[in-house]
Amino acid sequence: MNENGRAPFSRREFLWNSGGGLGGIALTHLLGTEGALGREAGGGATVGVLHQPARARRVVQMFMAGAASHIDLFDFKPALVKRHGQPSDFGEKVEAFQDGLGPWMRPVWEFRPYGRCGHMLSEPVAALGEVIDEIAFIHNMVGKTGVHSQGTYLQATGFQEPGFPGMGCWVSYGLGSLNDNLPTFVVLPDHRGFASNGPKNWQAAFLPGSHDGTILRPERSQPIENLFAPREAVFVTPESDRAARTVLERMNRRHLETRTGDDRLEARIRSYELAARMQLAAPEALDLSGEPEHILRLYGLDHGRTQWPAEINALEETEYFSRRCLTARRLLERGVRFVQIWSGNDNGFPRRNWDSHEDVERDHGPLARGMAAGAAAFIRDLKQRGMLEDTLILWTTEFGRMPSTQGDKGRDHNPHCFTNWLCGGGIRGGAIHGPSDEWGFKALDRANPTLVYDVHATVLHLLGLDHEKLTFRHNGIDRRLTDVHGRVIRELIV
Amino acid sequence: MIGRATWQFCLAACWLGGSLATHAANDEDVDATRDWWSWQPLRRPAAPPVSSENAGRVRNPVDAFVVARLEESGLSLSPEADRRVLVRRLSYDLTGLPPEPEVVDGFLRDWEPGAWERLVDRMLASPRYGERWARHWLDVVHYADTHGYDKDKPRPNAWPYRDFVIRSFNADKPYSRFVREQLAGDVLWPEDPGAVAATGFIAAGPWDFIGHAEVPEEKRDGMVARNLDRDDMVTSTMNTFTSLTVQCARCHDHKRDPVSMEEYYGLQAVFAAVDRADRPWDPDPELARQRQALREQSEASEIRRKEIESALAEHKTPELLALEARIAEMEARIAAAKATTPETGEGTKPSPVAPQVPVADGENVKMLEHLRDEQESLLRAAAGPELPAARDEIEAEIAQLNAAAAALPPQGMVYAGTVHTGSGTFLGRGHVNGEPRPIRVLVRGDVTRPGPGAVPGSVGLMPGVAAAFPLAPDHREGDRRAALAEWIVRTDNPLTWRSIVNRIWLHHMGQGLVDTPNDFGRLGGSPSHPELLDWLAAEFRDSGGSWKRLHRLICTSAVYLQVSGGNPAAERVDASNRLLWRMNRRRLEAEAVRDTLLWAAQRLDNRMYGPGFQDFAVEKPEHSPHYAYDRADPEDPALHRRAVYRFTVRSQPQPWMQVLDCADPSLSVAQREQSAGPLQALALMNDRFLLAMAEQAALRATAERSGIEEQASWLWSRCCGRPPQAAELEELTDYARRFGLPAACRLLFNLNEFVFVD
Repeated sequence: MNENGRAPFSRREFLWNSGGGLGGIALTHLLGTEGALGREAGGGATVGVLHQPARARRVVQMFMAGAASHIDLFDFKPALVKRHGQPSDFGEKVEAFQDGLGPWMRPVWEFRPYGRCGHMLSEPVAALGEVIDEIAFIHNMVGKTGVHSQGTYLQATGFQEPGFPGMGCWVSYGLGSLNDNLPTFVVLPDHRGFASNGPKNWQAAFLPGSHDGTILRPERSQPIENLFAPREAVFVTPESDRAARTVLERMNRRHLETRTGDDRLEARIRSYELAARMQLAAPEALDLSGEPEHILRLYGLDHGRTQWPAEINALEETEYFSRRCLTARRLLERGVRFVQIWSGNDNGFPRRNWDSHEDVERDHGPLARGMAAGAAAFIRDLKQRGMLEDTLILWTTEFGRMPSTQGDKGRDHNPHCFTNWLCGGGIRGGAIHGPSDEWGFKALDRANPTLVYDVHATVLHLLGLDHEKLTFRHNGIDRRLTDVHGRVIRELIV
Repeated sequence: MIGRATWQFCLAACWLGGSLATHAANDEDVDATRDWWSWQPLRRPAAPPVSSENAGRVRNPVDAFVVARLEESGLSLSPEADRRVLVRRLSYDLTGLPPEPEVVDGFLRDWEPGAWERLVDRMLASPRYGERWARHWLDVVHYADTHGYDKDKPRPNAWPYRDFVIRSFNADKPYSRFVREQLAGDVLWPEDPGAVAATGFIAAGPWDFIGHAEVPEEKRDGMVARNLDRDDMVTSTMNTFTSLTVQCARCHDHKRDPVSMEEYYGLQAVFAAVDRADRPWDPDPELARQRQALREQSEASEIRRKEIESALAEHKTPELLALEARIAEMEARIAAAKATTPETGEGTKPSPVAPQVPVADGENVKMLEHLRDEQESLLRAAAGPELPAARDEIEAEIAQLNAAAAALPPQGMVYAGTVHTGSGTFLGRGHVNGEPRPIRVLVRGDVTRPGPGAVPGSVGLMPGVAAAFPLAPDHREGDRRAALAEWIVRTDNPLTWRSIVNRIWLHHMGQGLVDTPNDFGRLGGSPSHPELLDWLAAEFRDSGGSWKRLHRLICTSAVYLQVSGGNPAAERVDASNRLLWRMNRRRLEAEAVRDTLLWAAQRLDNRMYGPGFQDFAVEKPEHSPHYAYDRADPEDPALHRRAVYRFTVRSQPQPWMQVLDCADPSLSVAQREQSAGPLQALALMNDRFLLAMAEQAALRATAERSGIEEQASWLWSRCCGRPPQAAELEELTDYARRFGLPAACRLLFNLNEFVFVD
């Protein structure tokens, strides 16, 4: 595939640009790929036949914006408990992003083992203990810089600078849609603001624009931009709207009669049908009111509160994160291929993000409790519906935090080591990959850390895609999600 | 971490050995990579003959090339489109707006020979032309008004570059000058504010604010940020002007094109002294001229003053010289006394370490005055009255000039590629007199593995076009940029001329002769009409690089005048119309849609230039600004200027524009997409701005015409560029009767006919 197909009349372009939602259009003969359309590949897919059998059909990526502390949540380091308060000594020259090279600092919370695997979790994320045997951890993730924007780009798009498609865009491009009524790649941002780089983390860049992540804001009257006419446009009524579609279609068809051979005109006519379907499907998908009591309880959404204190608190964070998780489940059920859930806004103040330079306990605590409650409920909910086996969950963040102290209670950036975890869709629960060193400062095996390329390669692999074969030619380079790197982490796969 | 890389063809052989690789495995490979159409010398082919059957269609040499190629495939040009279609096509093409009704009427009535040519000239002369074509250019150079990356802070002084592009196009600036100004206008034409603003090109792309402003250059993260920053400058320069993807050589030699890492880092060395930053600049050319004139006069007067002083010196007696030494000593003592006396009341104690100068101020000053009087009379006695009088005169003149300069309005700023003198961690190279940073070839692109030093230069893949720059050993940083600019615009640099005519062709015809406008390398495409491409390139180069001349040539060709309709027989041979057997129908770009909505409602404000309008409210500006587009008021007249004047936010783009395939300023966009999905349908049905314009247009219709049928007809003509047919009018009027004119206008804005140009 390449960008050469931009000739205005190309049938291929029409197929690509038609929103990825034109289910049932066989692309194989047009694209010159081998064989018949694979069962797993949906409408608008680029890959006619999957490169290998898929273990997962859908992906949910949870992104903790600001850099979540691996050593306070998932990666227990007894040495830090033992050496707490002693001057930190990394055995090498270390450049901290700010000045966070104070004494070693013990994890802010107690850790306890959970499940058959016995993995240690800290107290705020204890809720994940119930599903710990479904989860596989990577404790030797390594980034490239300690700058938020570059780190976030790297984890979201595989490149540390702007101009590259998000992972969900690549999945949409490769596999297409599983439904006709909702976008293929949905983003649920933190309602308090975008993370570093904002929407650039999920935009299609050089891929066709139909693979952009679509922002859904369940809390707004317009959950999708322009889903309905605004209230102030009084001349738009349900009747005028319906009649407009009918007249519009008739006029557009008449226009088309004298302009044969241009598929874009037909695509535009059809896009209005799809839009009408989305107007029905999106509110239904986002309406949690029909969820039974036991599900709301599972997600911690049965608190009945609508007012919140000014200070950050666990219940409120649970409300936000859980609601996004439950929404994600409903979207997945309705055929959305890729959902990205963000926790944390831009790295401003007061902190509603994971960038705890000042006070890990104050900010990480409520955020982690909310995240863990939501994520645990989500995993249990998928499992009880039989969806966990073909839904892949990836928990990530842009980098980790230092084992040394910044100020009295904070931690500085650590791009040399952090944690990811995966769950569902072909993942071997309870597995642990690549331990970190005794401090959680770097990978234990420094020559063989895990990079985002490996995680992305593994995700694509589980979806039936070979990360080296999913390419798009742009400005002279056959671009891949994994650049020229990447290795599927076999140890994590069932 | 890199050892487990998988091997793709863009990938470095250099990783295998762990050391810098040479260009290619052996000389044969080098020769093979040099055999590629785009870097062969540019020759001007003769227009080919066409059969007598088709000879009547040939209006200019462009047609001869296209028709001859069509004949080879058994095809011919499609018929000429009707005049109404043509005038709408031309108007959108050259101005980005629908034609004014009187222009259409005039053209429809003008059956004199040359009517079409006159229309082309008229539209090329419109200021709207520069605005339209500037947008194409700004897409390629990835211009925006915020930094992007983290925080996405505003760049309030980026707009002068946008204005520079518009002005240049409207003035039909020769292309070679246009190129040189953007890379080195500050060096080559420092007195020309346009040329200084032009260097906004270097700074147009994204900038990692945190990576520069919070991390010093010595730290690894700082080095990475600056390496990526220069990479964007190199990439943008070479992709924009030469369609070469040199950026592939940042981590390894380019595997398909003969571009080495040494050459790539030689290009980084060209930009090694500059940063993206504000620099002083006068927005008003007249003001800039005044300021420059005052500076020049002041400098000339200063030279004259020195001449007089030295003439006076020749007359000085030993007595006078001794007196002057005494005066100097006394002045120094007074100055020292002033320096040790705190000026504020706070901490009035004199510093204990400073020597106490036993001077009573008033007395000393009086004494000094006396000595100066004495000096003056001695001087006049020795030199006569004329020289001192001349000196007094010139000093008064200088004082006057300085006062005049001080009275001018303060200088503005332009965001540009410049030698920056900063503070904190973003220091720039101003503190070291603009000395370029030393640039090393980075092994695998890794800042922690510097290799040999890079020499400023370009790429050597073109026969006869040397990579090296003729730079003196003591050259200044700007000389490097000027040298690169000169290298690009060499008449024997075939890439430059082929690249630009392909871009211009693309925007007229809907597709390039080469369908990868930013990549003429081996992974890019090949021209559909290689001889036409070369003929256009040579013609453009040899006629002064005039864009307007090339537009005229293309727009008056028979190829351009064809209908855009399909033809099943031709489609079987060439479905994608690469051979140009018809015109390409095009969907309006996001900007053209927005401008047309305003135009249809007669609300378009054609004021040109200046800071961009902001169709958003800014929330939380102190940390990471939130750009709240939903809080803009669509009725606000400030938002009713053309979309090219929109303040473009990089990381948080305008959602409505984006869904209409607006360019993403994070990357160079050579050609817009023309997508059609449900989100776009929703955007055209429900967007607040569009609905407001539907209401406004309906209001205008009621003011212009009476009776709903007349009003509906007026709206139809404005939206589609033609009067409605009876059945169409009946249908629209019926709808308007039931739901009102605004709803009818909303419907019109959604027609395929509205968003497509035949």
